[in-house]
Amino acid sequence: MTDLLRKYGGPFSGMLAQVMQRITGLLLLVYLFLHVRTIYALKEGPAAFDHAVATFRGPLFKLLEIGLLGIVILHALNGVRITLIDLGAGQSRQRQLFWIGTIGAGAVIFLAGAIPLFLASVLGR
Amino acid sequence: MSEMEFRVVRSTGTKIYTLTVKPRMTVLDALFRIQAEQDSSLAFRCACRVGMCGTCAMSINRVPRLACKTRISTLDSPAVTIAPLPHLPVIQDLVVSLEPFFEQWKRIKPALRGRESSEPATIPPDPITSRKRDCITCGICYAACGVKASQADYLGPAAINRAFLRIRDPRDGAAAERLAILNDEWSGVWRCHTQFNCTSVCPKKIDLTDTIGRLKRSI
Repeated sequence: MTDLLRKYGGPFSGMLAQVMQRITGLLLLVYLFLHVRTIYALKEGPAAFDHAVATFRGPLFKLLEIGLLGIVILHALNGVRITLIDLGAGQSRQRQLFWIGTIGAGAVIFLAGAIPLFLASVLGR
Repeated sequence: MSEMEFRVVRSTGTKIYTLTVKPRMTVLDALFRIQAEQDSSLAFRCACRVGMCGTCAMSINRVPRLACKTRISTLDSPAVTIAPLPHLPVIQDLVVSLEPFFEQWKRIKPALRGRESSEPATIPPDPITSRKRDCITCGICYAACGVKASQADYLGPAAINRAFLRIRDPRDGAAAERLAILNDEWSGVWRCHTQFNCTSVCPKKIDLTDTIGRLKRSI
């Protein structure tokens, strides 16, 4: 276990970033299908759309929404990292870009968005 | 000096050896001790013992490295797991065949193919390629590449680096041909997902991902 942490936390962290990008990308694709399906309900009239949206008002979906926020942040920040690397910038600092720019900054942005969301939507305060 | 466990992934299964480790001992030293004192049937390969030939490449604590350049103390681990290089066929124990590696190497036409010119060639110093020329074809980057694990056709970082050196060489006359091979959708540079595994493990500190990035931008 320690060997794995050393490997993927150190020399292979770029691989960890790529796997994370793939997984978050697939999860976003699932969300996109759900999103399009919900919007599609508009075709059947306002009542059908309201009914579809009402499904997402429960606390479980609010928690999933907070998860979605995390996924979007990770995918977007790592996307910026990859774009910079592809343009030839930050190659020698790619590990720092991942751990500080993607994970660190991502955690701060996530908490700034997730805490108010959790308080308002899940706890109702 | 301390007792240490060595888990060696052999062709017949994993075998555990216990050895007294000295302060500046390398993994290759440990393998020689095991072979001399405990198990003469253990197969591994080495030649120069100073990190020049790349023959002793193997997976040490799950990371491909040169056994002669890896000091046990730097692993900072209570046990050392030694296995053959991944993604390459095992001949015996820690000895792998580099045949697939050199098959890809041959595809980029590694030899210089001089351009037809009556003018003598001038080769100005090139800071971009100076370190990239240090490749010892050990196969470590090839074994560490996550893309290579799932894409057998992929050229791999070492072959791409070699092609890059040839393309940058002002004497070379086959740049277009090599670029066409590198531009292949499934086996060329576009397969690289900038994982940086190759750069991280290269014993010669060659920035292979930088090479691939430069080629992507030039194609």
